[in-house]
Amino acid sequence: MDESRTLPGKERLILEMLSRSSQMFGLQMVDESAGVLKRGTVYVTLGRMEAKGLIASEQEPPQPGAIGLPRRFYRLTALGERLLHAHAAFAAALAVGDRS
Amino acid sequence: MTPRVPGHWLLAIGRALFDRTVYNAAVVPAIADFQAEWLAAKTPRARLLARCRGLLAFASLLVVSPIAFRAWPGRERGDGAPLVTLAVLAVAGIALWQWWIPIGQPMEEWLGRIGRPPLPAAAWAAVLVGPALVGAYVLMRKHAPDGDATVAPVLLPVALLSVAIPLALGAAAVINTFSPIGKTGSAGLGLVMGAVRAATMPAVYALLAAGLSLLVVAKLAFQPEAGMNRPVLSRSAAVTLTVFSAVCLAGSHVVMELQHRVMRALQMLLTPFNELPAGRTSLSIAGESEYVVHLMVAAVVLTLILAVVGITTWRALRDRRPPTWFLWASRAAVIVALVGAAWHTTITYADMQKLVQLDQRHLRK
Repeated sequence: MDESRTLPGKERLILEMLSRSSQMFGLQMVDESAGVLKRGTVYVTLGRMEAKGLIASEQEPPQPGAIGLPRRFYRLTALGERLLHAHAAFAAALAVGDRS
Repeated sequence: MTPRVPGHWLLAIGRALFDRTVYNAAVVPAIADFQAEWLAAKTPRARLLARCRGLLAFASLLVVSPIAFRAWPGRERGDGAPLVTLAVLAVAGIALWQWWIPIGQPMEEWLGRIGRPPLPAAAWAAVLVGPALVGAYVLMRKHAPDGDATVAPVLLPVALLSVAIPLALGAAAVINTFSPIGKTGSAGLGLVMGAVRAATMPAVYALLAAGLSLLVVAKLAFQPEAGMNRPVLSRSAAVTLTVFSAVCLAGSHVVMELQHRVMRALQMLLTPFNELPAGRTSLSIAGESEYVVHLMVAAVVLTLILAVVGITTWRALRDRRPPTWFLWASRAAVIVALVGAAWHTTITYADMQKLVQLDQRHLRK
């Protein structure tokens, strides 16, 4: 079965990145995705994932003397973590099935 | 000194174009990261690069918005997004019509066979597209859910137009520069009048860009009550404004006549400075170019109206809740912008037609 039918590739990548580090900024994910995530669309994907409850976001606490908008960092939710594990288990089971 | 962080205009545009959910979830984080990257850049070159990347990211967000936000989770179906996309495509199609003259030309000939149309084919396109857009808008409004989960439907095509038209015009300018046949539109005009026209075009489009920007800023006029993010154009207003645009088009003949006289007078005055092609008189040349210039005059008038309405609305909204007539004026501005923008595209179409005519004459010689 195509993996994208269960979890879109970009969403899976984001979940994996967030499972490795506690929280990340959008641009940080773009930099670490080796070109898979794009600046213009990563926030759309993140927004969708947040609306689905897979990730949560918070604004960074305002720093004294800081200028510019506070950045938003993203972290994995329990649901996102469960989905990532379930997807990994599903993919592993499929791989075993393929070998047998 | 504290540097001025870029991104304020992008925030204003984002706030104008997207509903609150999308704005908070996608636009604000994008601009916050852009600003952080810009602040972290140490050299002017790095800052320029960060600025370019940020602008590109924002432009990508705009381009994908009709598709990406259509199925935003939690958004109800029937929010009109497909119609927004259709409207965008329709207007962009008109903007790019100049490139499919092989299709447009037979259409004009067909219109000529069933009776000489009182307007050129390009103007007919504007007449057809204007009501189609208004109709799509009325449908959108009819089916749009209450609440703020709707991409501002009219402003999106307007914003995209502000990108599409300069692009189309830029391409026309390249053709003008490198065409072996001659300058489009201004062909046949003498040196002085050609220069006048060339100087006028950037001014016209600068005015249009300014008008559209002001309109985006004045978007607050469409949400007088907190939490209401849906434009409030009523059906009767749509009908009124459609009639207005039709009257404008019909009135263009009067403008054309006036312009013809002005051009003729100018040409007669400027004849000593111009080298006229053999066998041509200043009168015939003025006649050839009138149809391009009258559209420009109409476009300037429409743009000025738009700019005045935009400035007035913006000023009014800075300090207080806008009175009803401001709301009506701003609704009118949206339609004027659409009609004006569609009309502007006919200028480039007219230019291309002129090029085709010259080409045919060139071949006949």
